[in-house]
Amino acid sequence: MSTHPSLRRRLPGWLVLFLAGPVIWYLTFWLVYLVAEAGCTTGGLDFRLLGLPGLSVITVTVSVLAAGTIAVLTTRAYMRWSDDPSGEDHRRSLMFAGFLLGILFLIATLFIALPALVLEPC
Amino acid sequence: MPNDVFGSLDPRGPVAAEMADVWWFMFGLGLVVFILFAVLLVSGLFRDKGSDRGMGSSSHRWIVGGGVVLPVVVVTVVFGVTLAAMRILPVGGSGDAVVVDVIGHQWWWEVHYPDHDVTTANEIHMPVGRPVELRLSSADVIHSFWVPSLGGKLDLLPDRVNTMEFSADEPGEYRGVCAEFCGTQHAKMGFLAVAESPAEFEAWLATQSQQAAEPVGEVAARGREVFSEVGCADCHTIEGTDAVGTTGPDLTHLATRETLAAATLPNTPEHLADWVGDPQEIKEGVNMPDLPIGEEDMAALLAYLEGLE
Amino acid sequence: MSDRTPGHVPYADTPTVEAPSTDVELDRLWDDPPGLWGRLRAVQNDAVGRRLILTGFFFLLLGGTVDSVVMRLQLAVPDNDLVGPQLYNELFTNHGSVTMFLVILPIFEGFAILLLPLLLGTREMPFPRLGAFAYFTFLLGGLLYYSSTLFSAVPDAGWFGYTPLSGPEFSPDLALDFWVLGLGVAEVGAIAAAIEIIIGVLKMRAPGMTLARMPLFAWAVLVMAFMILFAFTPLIVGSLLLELDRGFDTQFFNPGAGGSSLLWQHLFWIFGHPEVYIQFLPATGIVSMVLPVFVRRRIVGYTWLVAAMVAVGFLSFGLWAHHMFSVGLSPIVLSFFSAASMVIAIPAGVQIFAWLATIWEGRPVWKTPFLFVVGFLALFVLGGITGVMVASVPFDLQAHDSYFVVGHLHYVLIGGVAFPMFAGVYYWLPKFTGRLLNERLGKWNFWLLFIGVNVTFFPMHIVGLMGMPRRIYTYPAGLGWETYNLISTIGVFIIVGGFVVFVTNVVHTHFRGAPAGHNPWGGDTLEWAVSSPPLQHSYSVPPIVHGRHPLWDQKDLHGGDLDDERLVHALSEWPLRWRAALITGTSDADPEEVFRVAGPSIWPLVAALGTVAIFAAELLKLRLGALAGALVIVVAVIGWNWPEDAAITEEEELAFEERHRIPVRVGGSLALARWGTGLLILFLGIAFTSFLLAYFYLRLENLDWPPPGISLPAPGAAVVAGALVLAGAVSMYRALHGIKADDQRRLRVGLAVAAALGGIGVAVQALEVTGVVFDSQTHAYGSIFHVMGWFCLMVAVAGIVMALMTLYWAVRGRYTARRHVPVANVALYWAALAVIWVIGFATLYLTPLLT
Repeated sequence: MSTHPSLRRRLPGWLVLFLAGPVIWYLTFWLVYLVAEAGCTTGGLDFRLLGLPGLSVITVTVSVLAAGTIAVLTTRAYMRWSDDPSGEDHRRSLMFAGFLLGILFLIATLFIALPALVLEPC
Repeated sequence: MPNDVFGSLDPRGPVAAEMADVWWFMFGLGLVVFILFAVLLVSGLFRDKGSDRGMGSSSHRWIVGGGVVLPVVVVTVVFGVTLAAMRILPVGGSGDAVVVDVIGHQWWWEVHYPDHDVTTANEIHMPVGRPVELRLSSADVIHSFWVPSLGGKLDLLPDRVNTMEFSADEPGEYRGVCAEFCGTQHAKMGFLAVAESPAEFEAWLATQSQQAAEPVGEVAARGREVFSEVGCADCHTIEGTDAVGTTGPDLTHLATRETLAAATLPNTPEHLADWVGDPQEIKEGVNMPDLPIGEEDMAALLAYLEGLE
Repeated sequence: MSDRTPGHVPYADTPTVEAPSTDVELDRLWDDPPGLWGRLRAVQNDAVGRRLILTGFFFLLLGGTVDSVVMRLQLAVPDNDLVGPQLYNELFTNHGSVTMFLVILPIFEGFAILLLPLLLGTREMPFPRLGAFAYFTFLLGGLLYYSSTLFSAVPDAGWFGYTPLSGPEFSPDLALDFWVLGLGVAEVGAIAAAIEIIIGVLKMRAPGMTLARMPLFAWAVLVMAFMILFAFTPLIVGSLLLELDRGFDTQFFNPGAGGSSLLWQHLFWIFGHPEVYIQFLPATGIVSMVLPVFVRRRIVGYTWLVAAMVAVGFLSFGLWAHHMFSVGLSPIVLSFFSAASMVIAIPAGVQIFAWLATIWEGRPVWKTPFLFVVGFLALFVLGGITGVMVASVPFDLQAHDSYFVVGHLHYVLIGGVAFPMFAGVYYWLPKFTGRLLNERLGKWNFWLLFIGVNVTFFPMHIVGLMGMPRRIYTYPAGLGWETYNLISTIGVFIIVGGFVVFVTNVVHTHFRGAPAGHNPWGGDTLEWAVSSPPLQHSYSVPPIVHGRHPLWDQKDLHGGDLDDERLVHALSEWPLRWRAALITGTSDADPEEVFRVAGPSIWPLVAALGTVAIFAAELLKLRLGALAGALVIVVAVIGWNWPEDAAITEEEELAFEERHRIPVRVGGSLALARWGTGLLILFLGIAFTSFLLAYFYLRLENLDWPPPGISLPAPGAAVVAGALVLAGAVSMYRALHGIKADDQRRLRVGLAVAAALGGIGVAVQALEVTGVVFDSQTHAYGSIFHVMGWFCLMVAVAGIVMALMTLYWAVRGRYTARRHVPVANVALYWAALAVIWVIGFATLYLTPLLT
């Protein structure tokens, strides 16, 4: 039983691994959306790299980086889940949920990058 | 108007055809998914469970197979088809397109052909087989341009110009509507897209770029005076006369149009009389007022309007 | 966990909670006071929950049923003149607004507030008075909205209220003000209830009910409540901007003066799409509770379902623009939203197959709640499939704003939301009335609704594909739409028949229902362990939980860790003079505190009346009335939080703390206070982010920023003010460190300095903002400059007031090294306010320099 709750609190590790995928996807989504909206409205970012328009390059780069981060954290959540042989820890199933969420949002993040490769952005 | 072609699944142009293809593909896929689901549900509910011991560990395979793999595959395929279609669909700017400016008003459509100095309303003429580039904007609230058998929707906004492109494969009169709720008479804000042979289209342009026909006969000439006296001219333009109002549709070639009151009525003398006589009855809330016009003056006015070819 | 074979559950004979002799005394202690005056002061979760649900159903009958019948009659035949365009537009505006704001949301919040304490094994919700406040704001907001009828100024711009149609130029009368302001009050209530639900789920579970053992309905409403916070806040900001345009001549949405017609759509749909899932998630939560009980098997894939609900919660915030596919977005932006809209099919698929697998494992018992669950599955899958279709941009450009979408959304909202709602009512109503609903009427109710929904809404898909747009009051003959529309109209009468049977059933049950007993369905969760109806405090001896299905797996609901066992039993014997409840750890559900739950009070009603007064004053353009409303709120908040009599001596308190090694908070829970502060900061942060988005969106829409003729104000004064506020925040933290070291002097000096520096900073900045050469009414630049500036100033003023109040209590020696959580909370608020201030004014003064 805990005593008086301490005032200093760090973000608990289970929460980070549980919500890493969705949170990273969400931030990525907003970032690429705002950059795309700004780029297309102002006509900025008007360069090409490797035959791709600048906006697409940025979109693909950002979402691939985000996908990589999600992949790393998802792997960690999976290991936390499978490493616990007793299965008694209540956080274990949250780690499994974190692993599932990670995979889903990995797909969602890659879906952001995909159209940038085939569509003219603006 | 019964003979107009209408409907998304009755495509008469490449854009609408592409969209209909996407629909039929998704419809087939959706049907398969639904049948699969229905079979699983019904057999799960009614199967014989006499010696049932549950499914044990196979349960999670259900979720992985049906809940993850199936939707991922379906969604990826649908997303691929979507992107492929988005790549094909024209966004405007083809070299040989006919440029048309469409400006939405509560509740009618102002139409310009900037390259030909033609202004009309509630009717878009287009040559068969040639793309039309529509530059859409609004004079008041947000409207949405939709000709289901030729293509999808695009909104008309007061603060930017949206561009879309479509074309018709065969001659016909294709009904269009406003698809974004825009106030009282949103329901009666229609128009016609008239696709015709290039020759007919050129002839139409030639007629429309003329000034208004002079009234023929005394009655019609009196009608032109009535038009100014009772206030029609405050809102409507008739090229070549002193009527230069811009609140309502340009009436220079009213008699050549198929419909009245934004595709609400066929353009016949009887309907014209009804409409001018009591616009609020035909289209309640419309900005055109019921004007007190005497019987004789009304006859003259109608005679004049019917002569505007 | 028991070692019985999973799947085999003894549903006939489930354990019940202990009924000690103190039952009666506790029941009386927790009961709301009698009489009308008592009812106005009622704060108990069962009163609040029941009122929310009943009021929601009342609005459903009013706005959901009557409106739809008239609309369908009008559309039954072409060129019909039963109602004119104006009335029709008012009807569909009302239908959408009422069902989206005043029906589904309050009903589910009511379900949550009514059920959570029972489901979680606790005695109350954490902030009963906040719950009462949420109800009164919802009720008064709804009435304010509906009162537009009395003034013949009925809103007519659609439930989405697109600008500029809803702006002052095209809707000059008061109709839209009723819409913005009435629903605005209800939105405040929605957020208040959301805060209550979040903290209730996270902090008030029975010992042993870890996050991973929580009933799925609790997970669903937890995600829902977070979504409400993230979705309704931008809507409130958007509504504020719209009302400023309408009432104070700002130019946010006026394209003629630098405003944007699309800004509203973004702000609205950032709320509007999540709103659909806010309604849908609790419905799936109900399905996940009801379905396993009626197939007599544990739910398959509990963790999968939790992950799916969290995923839906996040994804729903990345698809708002799929309502805007036709506004002319760039292809890449379209594809982002299309992608997210499709990915959401994956968690939906996971849910569907988890339920299917559970059905396959089990053996159905065909009672009415289960019928509604099966109906839900069929209708929702159809609505989900058409949902994926409209996520595809090329097809959506045809389907958007056509009757196809009307069909789709009603399959989702009636099949996906209303059916589980009915399942929930048939399932849980016996718990609260003690009587079972009639099964035969239940089946009629189900079949009429199921057939009616399909007859009404299936033809709409077809007629939509044939080109029939939404929101038209009539249509010409000869387009091939007649038959489908007539069928739809017939269908709506079948639905109405279903509703009539439902009401009949509820009334019939009230008089002649069969007694329900503790656990009529053989349910697995805690609510079925208490009597029907439950005692006011639900549990005399709070339960101890060892698994996800306590009633199926536990013989004894109060056994476990010896300390816990002694604690829960102690709570049935002591204290009997004040309402005690248990706070447990967020993830592990270990007991953390025993705290005093607030009792009946008139102040929530007064605060709600003050809130309504502010909005009504704006409606009547009585600006002084708003000030009076604000004063009423201030008085109400003081009365609301006025310390109650201690009720026990310090010795008793210490003795309990000693024996059970758990802090006793007779003055109110500190853990809850911290969570409340955290959520308040989150709310402000979301609101501030919405302002920032509006700022940058307007900036993108304007080539010249600031507009020609206006020069950017010099940053000198803002830099000084910013430095002062930052120094104030630093001083706040010095005060906090002071009290941690038990240094009362450092605490007081720190607080005083923080308040003083902050006050000077606010004064400098306020003078600067009022002194700029441009006003808020000429151009959107000035509008956003002034409004965002004043938002930051108000946030700071609130911080200064908190600092002064803390200083008052500090001087009276209330804080010690061990007990100083309020100081820590205020310091946290100051950190947040400093961040908001710096970002806010840097945006206003510096970012225009970057081009």
